[in-house]
Amino acid sequence: MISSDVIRGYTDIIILYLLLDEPSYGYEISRRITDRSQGLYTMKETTLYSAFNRLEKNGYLRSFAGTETGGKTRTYYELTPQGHTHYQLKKEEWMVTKKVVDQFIK
Amino acid sequence: MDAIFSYLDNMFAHLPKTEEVKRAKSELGQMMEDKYNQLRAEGRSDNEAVGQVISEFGNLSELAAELGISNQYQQASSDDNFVTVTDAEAESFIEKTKKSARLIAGGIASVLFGVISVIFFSGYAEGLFNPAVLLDGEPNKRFVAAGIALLFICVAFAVYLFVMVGIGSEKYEIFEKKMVKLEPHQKFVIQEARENHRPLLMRKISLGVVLILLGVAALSVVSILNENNEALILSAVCGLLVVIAISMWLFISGSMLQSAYDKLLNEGDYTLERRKSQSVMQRWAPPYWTLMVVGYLAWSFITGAWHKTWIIWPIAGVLFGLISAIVQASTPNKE
Repeated sequence: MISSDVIRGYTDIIILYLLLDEPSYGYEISRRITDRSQGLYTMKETTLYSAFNRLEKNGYLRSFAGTETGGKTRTYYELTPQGHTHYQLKKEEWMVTKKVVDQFIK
Repeated sequence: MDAIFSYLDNMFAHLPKTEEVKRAKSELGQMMEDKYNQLRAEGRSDNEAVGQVISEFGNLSELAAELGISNQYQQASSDDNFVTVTDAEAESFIEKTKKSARLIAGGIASVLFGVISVIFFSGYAEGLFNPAVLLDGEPNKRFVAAGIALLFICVAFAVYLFVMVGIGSEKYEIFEKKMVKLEPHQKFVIQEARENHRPLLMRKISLGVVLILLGVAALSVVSILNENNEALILSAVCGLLVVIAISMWLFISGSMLQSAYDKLLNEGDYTLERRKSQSVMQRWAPPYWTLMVVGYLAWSFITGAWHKTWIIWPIAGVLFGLISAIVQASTPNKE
Protein backbone atom coordinates (compact mmCIF):
# COMPACT_ATOMS: atom_id res chain seq x y z
CA MET A 1 0.00 0.00 0.00
CA ILE A 2 1.30 3.44 -0.97
CA SER A 3 1.05 6.17 1.63
CA SER A 4 -1.37 8.89 0.60
CA ASP A 5 1.23 11.58 1.36
CA VAL A 6 3.61 10.30 -1.31
CA ILE A 7 1.04 10.08 -4.07
CA ARG A 8 -0.84 13.27 -3.26
CA GLY A 9 0.93 15.34 -5.92
CA TYR A 10 -0.14 12.86 -8.61
CA THR A 11 -3.83 12.63 -7.82
CA ASP A 12 -4.65 15.04 -10.65
CA ILE A 13 -2.66 13.27 -13.33
CA ILE A 14 -4.24 9.94 -12.40
CA ILE A 15 -7.77 11.30 -12.72
CA LEU A 16 -7.06 13.26 -15.90
CA TYR A 17 -5.52 10.16 -17.50
CA LEU A 18 -8.63 8.10 -16.83
CA LEU A 19 -10.81 10.75 -18.44
CA LEU A 20 -8.67 11.22 -21.58
CA ASP A 21 -10.78 8.97 -23.80
CA GLU A 22 -14.27 9.18 -22.40
CA PRO A 23 -16.33 10.75 -19.59
CA SER A 24 -16.77 8.73 -16.42
CA TYR A 25 -18.26 8.92 -12.93
CA GLY A 26 -16.92 8.71 -9.35
CA TYR A 27 -17.03 5.04 -8.51
CA GLU A 28 -15.91 3.90 -11.96
CA ILE A 29 -12.86 6.12 -11.76
CA SER A 30 -12.14 4.89 -8.25
CA ARG A 31 -12.38 1.26 -9.36
CA ARG A 32 -10.16 1.83 -12.39
CA ILE A 33 -7.51 3.42 -10.17
CA THR A 34 -7.48 0.36 -7.92
CA ASP A 35 -7.46 -2.00 -10.93
CA ARG A 36 -4.75 -0.22 -12.90
CA SER A 37 -2.54 -0.01 -9.82
CA GLN A 38 -3.13 -3.73 -9.29
CA GLY A 39 -4.56 -3.09 -5.84
CA LEU A 40 -1.46 -1.23 -4.65
CA TYR A 41 -3.31 2.04 -4.37
CA THR A 42 -6.93 2.82 -3.58
CA MET A 43 -7.93 6.44 -3.70
CA LYS A 44 -10.12 7.46 -0.78
CA GLU A 45 -13.54 8.85 -1.72
CA THR A 46 -12.83 12.17 -0.06
CA THR A 47 -9.53 12.52 -1.94
CA LEU A 48 -11.28 11.76 -5.20
CA TYR A 49 -14.13 14.17 -4.60
CA SER A 50 -11.78 16.89 -3.44
CA ALA A 51 -9.80 16.47 -6.69
CA PHE A 52 -12.95 16.58 -8.86
CA ASN A 53 -13.96 19.77 -7.14
CA ARG A 54 -10.57 21.41 -7.56
CA LEU A 55 -10.11 20.31 -11.18
CA GLU A 56 -13.56 21.55 -12.06
CA LYS A 57 -12.96 24.94 -10.43
CA ASN A 58 -9.73 25.26 -12.41
CA GLY A 59 -11.62 24.55 -15.62
CA TYR A 60 -9.96 21.20 -16.37
CA LEU A 61 -13.12 19.16 -15.87
CA ARG A 62 -16.76 19.67 -16.66
CA SER A 63 -19.49 17.76 -14.85
CA PHE A 64 -22.91 16.78 -16.17
CA ALA A 65 -25.72 14.49 -15.11
CA GLY A 66 -25.69 11.34 -17.18
CA THR A 67 -27.43 8.01 -17.19
CA GLU A 68 -25.83 4.65 -17.69
CA THR A 69 -27.78 2.41 -20.10
CA GLY A 70 -30.62 1.17 -17.95
CA GLY A 71 -28.88 2.53 -14.86
CA LYS A 72 -29.39 5.43 -12.54
CA THR A 73 -28.46 9.07 -12.90
CA ARG A 74 -24.93 9.93 -11.89
CA THR A 75 -22.61 12.90 -12.08
CA TYR A 76 -20.23 12.33 -14.98
CA TYR A 77 -16.98 14.18 -15.48
CA GLU A 78 -15.31 14.93 -18.78
CA LEU A 79 -12.07 16.59 -19.75
CA THR A 80 -12.19 20.14 -21.17
CA PRO A 81 -9.60 21.28 -23.78
CA GLN A 82 -7.75 22.99 -20.90
CA GLY A 83 -7.83 19.66 -19.12
CA HIS A 84 -6.06 17.99 -22.06
CA THR A 85 -3.42 20.72 -22.08
CA HIS A 86 -3.03 20.42 -18.31
CA TYR A 87 -2.56 16.66 -18.63
CA GLN A 88 0.24 17.16 -21.19
CA LEU A 89 1.94 19.66 -18.88
CA LYS A 90 1.67 17.38 -15.86
CA LYS A 91 2.95 14.49 -17.96
CA GLU A 92 6.08 16.38 -19.00
CA GLU A 93 6.58 17.53 -15.43
CA TRP A 94 6.44 13.94 -14.25
CA MET A 95 8.90 12.76 -16.94
CA VAL A 96 11.42 15.29 -15.68
CA THR A 97 10.70 14.52 -12.03
CA LYS A 98 11.10 10.81 -12.65
CA LYS A 99 14.37 11.38 -14.52
CA VAL A 100 15.76 13.48 -11.68
CA VAL A 101 14.72 11.11 -8.89
CA ASP A 102 16.02 8.13 -10.86
CA GLN A 103 19.49 9.67 -10.73
CA PHE A 104 19.46 9.03 -7.00
CA ILE A 105 18.19 5.48 -7.07
CA LYS A 106 20.53 2.53 -7.46
CA MET B 1 -26.24 -0.60 3.45
CA ASP B 2 -28.24 1.58 5.85
CA ALA B 3 -25.10 1.73 7.97
CA ILE B 4 -23.34 3.58 5.16
CA PHE B 5 -25.98 6.26 4.93
CA SER B 6 -26.25 6.74 8.67
CA TYR B 7 -22.46 6.98 8.76
CA LEU B 8 -22.59 9.66 6.09
CA ASP B 9 -25.42 11.48 7.91
CA ASN B 10 -23.34 11.50 11.07
CA MET B 11 -20.32 12.91 9.30
CA PHE B 12 -22.30 15.72 7.82
CA ALA B 13 -24.60 16.33 10.78
CA HIS B 14 -22.66 19.31 12.11
CA LEU B 15 -21.91 20.98 8.82
CA PRO B 16 -23.84 23.97 7.46
CA LYS B 17 -26.38 22.97 4.81
CA THR B 18 -24.87 24.94 1.95
CA GLU B 19 -25.21 23.89 -1.70
CA GLU B 20 -21.58 22.78 -1.80
CA VAL B 21 -21.96 20.63 1.29
CA LYS B 22 -25.15 19.03 -0.02
CA ARG B 23 -23.52 18.26 -3.34
CA ALA B 24 -20.46 16.75 -1.66
CA LYS B 25 -22.67 14.57 0.50
CA SER B 26 -24.71 13.24 -2.39
CA GLU B 27 -21.64 12.61 -4.57
CA LEU B 28 -19.82 10.80 -1.78
CA GLY B 29 -22.97 8.82 -1.00
CA GLN B 30 -23.25 7.82 -4.65
CA MET B 31 -19.66 6.58 -4.75
CA MET B 32 -20.07 4.67 -1.51
CA GLU B 33 -23.30 3.07 -2.68
CA ASP B 34 -21.70 2.01 -5.98
CA LYS B 35 -18.73 0.54 -4.17
CA TYR B 36 -20.97 -1.26 -1.69
CA ASN B 37 -23.05 -2.80 -4.49
CA GLN B 38 -19.93 -3.88 -6.35
CA LEU B 39 -18.49 -5.55 -3.21
CA ARG B 40 -21.78 -7.31 -2.55
CA ALA B 41 -21.85 -8.50 -6.17
CA GLU B 42 -18.38 -9.94 -5.62
CA GLY B 43 -19.78 -12.01 -2.77
CA ARG B 44 -18.78 -9.99 0.30
CA SER B 45 -21.11 -10.03 3.30
CA ASP B 46 -23.03 -6.91 4.26
CA ASN B 47 -20.70 -6.35 7.21
CA GLU B 48 -17.51 -6.78 5.20
CA ALA B 49 -18.74 -4.47 2.46
CA VAL B 50 -19.83 -1.75 4.90
CA GLY B 51 -16.51 -2.05 6.76
CA GLN B 52 -14.44 -1.72 3.61
CA VAL B 53 -16.47 1.17 2.21
CA ILE B 54 -16.18 3.10 5.46
CA SER B 55 -12.49 2.41 5.94
CA GLU B 56 -11.76 3.60 2.39
CA PHE B 57 -13.92 6.68 2.73
CA GLY B 58 -11.09 8.98 3.78
CA ASN B 59 -11.25 12.09 5.86
CA LEU B 60 -13.72 14.96 5.59
CA SER B 61 -11.07 17.46 6.63
CA GLU B 62 -9.60 16.93 3.14
CA LEU B 63 -12.69 18.68 1.83
CA ALA B 64 -12.62 21.46 4.40
CA ALA B 65 -11.20 24.04 2.00
CA GLU B 66 -13.59 23.11 -0.84
CA LEU B 67 -16.61 23.23 1.41
CA GLY B 68 -15.65 26.40 3.22
CA ILE B 69 -15.72 24.66 6.61
CA SER B 70 -12.03 24.91 7.52
CA ASN B 71 -12.87 27.05 10.57
CA GLN B 72 -14.77 24.21 12.18
CA TYR B 73 -11.91 21.80 11.78
CA GLN B 74 -9.41 24.18 13.26
CA GLN B 75 -11.67 24.83 16.22
CA ALA B 76 -12.23 21.19 16.95
CA SER B 77 -8.58 20.23 16.78
CA SER B 78 -7.34 23.09 18.92
CA ASP B 79 -9.50 22.06 21.89
CA ASP B 80 -7.19 21.38 24.82
CA ASN B 81 -9.06 18.45 26.31
CA PHE B 82 -8.81 16.42 23.14
CA VAL B 83 -6.09 14.51 21.42
CA THR B 84 -6.31 13.08 17.93
CA VAL B 85 -5.09 9.66 17.00
CA THR B 86 -4.08 8.07 13.70
CA ASP B 87 -5.29 4.63 12.62
CA ALA B 88 -1.79 3.23 13.16
CA GLU B 89 -1.57 4.73 16.66
CA ALA B 90 -4.94 3.31 17.65
CA GLU B 91 -3.92 -0.09 16.37
CA SER B 92 -0.56 -0.10 18.11
CA PHE B 93 -2.22 1.09 21.32
CA ILE B 94 -4.55 -1.92 21.22
CA GLU B 95 -1.60 -4.22 20.47
CA LYS B 96 0.41 -2.74 23.34
CA THR B 97 -2.56 -3.21 25.66
CA LYS B 98 -2.85 -6.88 24.75
CA LYS B 99 0.87 -7.28 25.37
CA SER B 100 0.68 -5.42 28.71
CA ALA B 101 -2.21 -7.63 29.80
CA ARG B 102 -0.11 -10.72 29.07
CA LEU B 103 2.83 -9.26 30.99
CA ILE B 104 0.76 -8.27 34.04
CA ALA B 105 -1.11 -11.57 34.12
CA GLY B 106 2.19 -13.41 33.64
CA GLY B 107 3.75 -11.45 36.51
CA ILE B 108 0.88 -12.28 38.84
CA ALA B 109 1.02 -15.93 37.79
CA SER B 110 4.75 -15.93 38.47
CA VAL B 111 4.29 -14.52 41.99
CA LEU B 112 1.56 -17.06 42.72
CA PHE B 113 3.80 -19.84 41.42
CA GLY B 114 6.48 -18.65 43.87
CA VAL B 115 3.94 -18.84 46.68
CA ILE B 116 2.97 -22.35 45.57
CA SER B 117 6.58 -23.45 45.75
CA VAL B 118 6.97 -22.06 49.28
CA ILE B 119 3.80 -23.80 50.46
CA PHE B 120 4.64 -27.04 48.71
CA PHE B 121 8.26 -27.18 49.85
CA SER B 122 7.50 -26.23 53.44
CA GLY B 123 4.98 -29.09 53.53
CA TYR B 124 7.46 -31.36 51.78
CA ALA B 125 10.13 -30.43 54.34
CA GLU B 126 7.81 -31.57 57.09
CA GLY B 127 7.59 -34.95 55.44
CA LEU B 128 3.94 -34.67 54.45
CA PHE B 129 4.52 -36.31 51.10
CA ASN B 130 7.53 -38.42 51.87
CA PRO B 131 8.47 -39.05 55.54
CA ALA B 132 11.97 -40.09 54.43
CA VAL B 133 13.04 -36.45 54.03
CA LEU B 134 12.76 -35.79 57.77
CA LEU B 135 16.05 -35.40 59.62
CA ASP B 136 15.74 -37.06 63.05
CA GLY B 137 12.01 -36.30 63.01
CA GLU B 138 12.69 -32.61 62.38
CA PRO B 139 11.60 -30.70 59.20
CA ASN B 140 14.29 -30.69 56.56
CA LYS B 141 15.29 -27.02 56.36
CA ARG B 142 16.93 -27.47 52.95
CA PHE B 143 13.53 -27.85 51.30
CA VAL B 144 12.12 -24.80 53.08
CA ALA B 145 15.10 -22.82 51.82
CA ALA B 146 14.61 -24.15 48.29
CA GLY B 147 10.95 -23.05 48.33
CA ILE B 148 11.82 -19.57 49.54
CA ALA B 149 14.62 -19.27 46.97
CA LEU B 150 12.16 -20.21 44.22
CA LEU B 151 9.74 -17.59 45.54
CA PHE B 152 12.37 -14.87 45.28
CA ILE B 153 13.29 -15.94 41.77
CA CYS B 154 9.62 -15.82 40.77
CA VAL B 155 9.09 -12.42 42.38
CA ALA B 156 12.18 -11.07 40.60
CA PHE B 157 10.84 -12.40 37.30
CA ALA B 158 7.46 -10.80 38.03
CA VAL B 159 9.11 -7.46 38.74
CA TYR B 160 10.93 -7.77 35.41
CA LEU B 161 7.58 -8.37 33.65
CA PHE B 162 5.91 -5.44 35.44
CA VAL B 163 8.76 -3.14 34.39
CA MET B 164 8.34 -4.34 30.79
CA VAL B 165 4.73 -3.13 30.91
CA GLY B 166 5.96 0.42 31.38
CA ILE B 167 8.37 0.29 28.44
CA GLY B 168 6.81 1.81 25.35
CA SER B 169 3.62 2.76 27.16
CA GLU B 170 4.62 6.40 27.84
CA LYS B 171 3.24 7.64 24.56
CA TYR B 172 -0.17 6.18 25.35
CA GLU B 173 -0.44 7.79 28.79
CA ILE B 174 -2.15 10.73 27.15
CA PHE B 175 -5.18 8.51 26.50
CA GLU B 176 -5.55 8.12 30.28
CA LYS B 177 -6.10 11.81 30.84
CA LYS B 178 -7.40 13.34 27.66
CA MET B 179 -10.46 12.69 25.60
CA VAL B 180 -9.71 11.08 22.27
CA LYS B 181 -11.04 12.75 19.18
CA LEU B 182 -11.78 10.09 16.59
CA GLU B 183 -12.54 10.40 12.94
CA PRO B 184 -15.95 8.86 12.22
CA HIS B 185 -14.47 5.86 10.39
CA GLN B 186 -12.15 5.20 13.33
CA LYS B 187 -15.07 5.36 15.70
CA PHE B 188 -16.97 2.88 13.56
CA VAL B 189 -14.08 0.40 13.40
CA ILE B 190 -13.30 0.60 17.13
CA GLN B 191 -16.94 0.30 18.18
CA GLU B 192 -17.24 -2.75 16.00
CA ALA B 193 -14.12 -4.30 17.57
CA ARG B 194 -15.42 -3.58 21.06
CA GLU B 195 -18.83 -5.08 20.36
CA ASN B 196 -17.17 -8.19 18.95
CA HIS B 197 -15.04 -8.47 22.07
CA ARG B 198 -17.85 -8.01 24.60
CA PRO B 199 -19.23 -11.58 24.60
CA LEU B 200 -15.69 -12.91 25.05
CA LEU B 201 -15.14 -10.54 27.98
CA MET B 202 -18.33 -11.71 29.67
CA ARG B 203 -17.33 -15.35 29.22
CA LYS B 204 -13.86 -14.65 30.61
CA ILE B 205 -15.18 -12.89 33.70
CA SER B 206 -17.82 -15.47 34.53
CA LEU B 207 -15.40 -18.32 33.91
CA GLY B 208 -12.85 -16.63 36.18
CA VAL B 209 -15.35 -16.14 39.02
CA VAL B 210 -16.64 -19.71 38.68
CA LEU B 211 -13.09 -21.12 38.70
CA ILE B 212 -12.16 -19.29 41.90
CA LEU B 213 -15.36 -20.33 43.64
CA LEU B 214 -14.83 -23.95 42.55
CA GLY B 215 -11.25 -23.86 43.82
CA VAL B 216 -12.39 -22.53 47.19
CA ALA B 217 -15.23 -25.06 47.35
CA ALA B 218 -12.83 -27.91 46.57
CA LEU B 219 -10.47 -26.76 49.28
CA SER B 220 -13.30 -26.48 51.83
CA VAL B 221 -14.60 -29.97 51.02
CA VAL B 222 -11.15 -31.47 51.17
CA SER B 223 -10.31 -29.85 54.51
CA ILE B 224 -13.63 -30.83 56.11
CA LEU B 225 -13.63 -34.44 54.89
CA ASN B 226 -9.92 -35.10 55.32
CA GLU B 227 -9.13 -33.02 58.34
CA ASN B 228 -6.03 -35.04 59.14
CA ASN B 229 -4.66 -35.49 55.67
CA GLU B 230 -2.40 -32.44 55.55
CA ALA B 231 -0.77 -33.51 52.30
CA LEU B 232 -4.15 -33.48 50.55
CA ILE B 233 -5.13 -30.12 52.02
CA LEU B 234 -1.82 -28.63 50.96
CA SER B 235 -2.33 -29.91 47.42
CA ALA B 236 -5.80 -28.35 47.36
CA VAL B 237 -4.31 -25.01 48.45
CA CYS B 238 -1.74 -25.20 45.65
CA GLY B 239 -4.53 -26.12 43.22
CA LEU B 240 -6.51 -23.09 44.35
CA LEU B 241 -3.53 -20.84 43.69
CA VAL B 242 -3.17 -22.24 40.17
CA VAL B 243 -6.87 -21.55 39.60
CA ILE B 244 -6.44 -17.99 40.91
CA ALA B 245 -3.57 -17.44 38.46
CA ILE B 246 -5.75 -18.63 35.57
CA SER B 247 -8.68 -16.46 36.68
CA MET B 248 -6.44 -13.41 36.97
CA TRP B 249 -5.28 -14.07 33.41
CA LEU B 250 -8.88 -14.18 32.23
CA PHE B 251 -9.90 -11.05 34.16
CA ILE B 252 -6.92 -9.00 33.13
CA SER B 253 -6.75 -9.92 29.47
CA GLY B 254 -10.48 -9.26 29.09
CA SER B 255 -10.84 -6.09 31.10
CA MET B 256 -7.68 -4.37 29.88
CA LEU B 257 -8.66 -4.79 26.25
CA GLN B 258 -12.17 -3.58 27.01
CA SER B 259 -10.93 -0.49 28.77
CA ALA B 260 -8.49 0.23 25.93
CA TYR B 261 -11.49 0.37 23.59
CA ASP B 262 -13.35 2.51 26.12
CA LYS B 263 -10.41 4.90 26.33
CA LEU B 264 -10.40 5.41 22.57
CA LEU B 265 -14.17 5.83 22.50
CA ASN B 266 -14.37 7.98 25.65
CA GLU B 267 -16.92 5.61 27.13
CA GLY B 268 -17.35 3.41 30.18
CA ASP B 269 -14.82 4.52 32.77
CA TYR B 270 -13.41 7.04 30.34
CA THR B 271 -16.18 9.56 29.85
CA LEU B 272 -15.15 13.13 30.56
CA GLU B 273 -16.56 12.98 34.11
CA ARG B 274 -15.12 9.63 35.08
CA ARG B 275 -11.65 10.02 33.64
CA LYS B 276 -10.33 11.85 36.64
CA SER B 277 -11.56 9.54 39.38
CA GLN B 278 -11.56 6.04 38.06
CA SER B 279 -10.86 2.75 39.75
CA VAL B 280 -10.65 -0.25 37.50
CA MET B 281 -9.85 -3.66 38.87
CA GLN B 282 -7.05 -4.20 36.40
CA ARG B 283 -5.18 -1.36 38.11
CA TRP B 284 -5.71 -2.87 41.51
CA ALA B 285 -4.81 -6.45 40.68
CA PRO B 286 -1.00 -6.12 40.83
CA PRO B 287 -0.90 -4.06 44.09
CA TYR B 288 -3.61 -6.27 45.59
CA TRP B 289 -1.71 -9.51 45.02
CA THR B 290 1.62 -7.96 45.95
CA LEU B 291 0.08 -6.87 49.24
CA MET B 292 -1.25 -10.38 49.82
CA VAL B 293 2.20 -11.87 49.19
CA VAL B 294 3.83 -9.38 51.55
CA GLY B 295 1.20 -10.05 54.21
CA TYR B 296 1.53 -13.79 53.71
CA LEU B 297 5.33 -13.74 53.96
CA ALA B 298 5.37 -11.38 56.95
CA TRP B 299 2.82 -13.46 58.85
CA SER B 300 4.58 -16.71 57.98
CA PHE B 301 8.11 -15.58 58.81
CA ILE B 302 7.07 -13.90 62.09
CA THR B 303 4.94 -16.76 63.39
CA GLY B 304 6.74 -19.58 61.57
CA ALA B 305 3.31 -21.18 61.15
CA TRP B 306 3.63 -21.97 57.42
CA HIS B 307 1.07 -24.75 57.76
CA LYS B 308 -1.61 -22.28 58.85
CA THR B 309 -0.85 -19.08 56.97
CA TRP B 310 -2.02 -20.44 53.59
CA ILE B 311 -5.53 -19.58 54.79
CA ILE B 312 -4.79 -16.10 53.41
CA TRP B 313 -5.11 -17.42 49.83
CA PRO B 314 -8.65 -18.75 49.78
CA ILE B 315 -9.79 -15.58 51.55
CA ALA B 316 -7.87 -13.34 49.15
CA GLY B 317 -9.23 -15.27 46.17
CA VAL B 318 -12.87 -15.05 47.20
CA LEU B 319 -12.49 -11.40 48.10
CA PHE B 320 -10.99 -10.62 44.70
CA GLY B 321 -13.69 -12.53 42.86
CA LEU B 322 -16.33 -10.71 44.87
CA ILE B 323 -14.84 -7.26 44.30
CA SER B 324 -14.42 -7.76 40.58
CA ALA B 325 -17.95 -9.11 40.23
CA ILE B 326 -19.29 -6.03 42.04
CA VAL B 327 -17.16 -3.63 39.99
CA GLN B 328 -18.32 -5.30 36.79
CA ALA B 329 -21.98 -5.26 37.82
CA SER B 330 -21.92 -1.65 38.94
CA THR B 331 -20.44 -0.44 35.64
CA PRO B 332 -23.47 0.16 33.48
CA ASN B 333 -23.19 -0.54 29.78
CA LYS B 334 -23.72 2.81 28.25
CA GLU B 335 -24.91 3.08 24.69
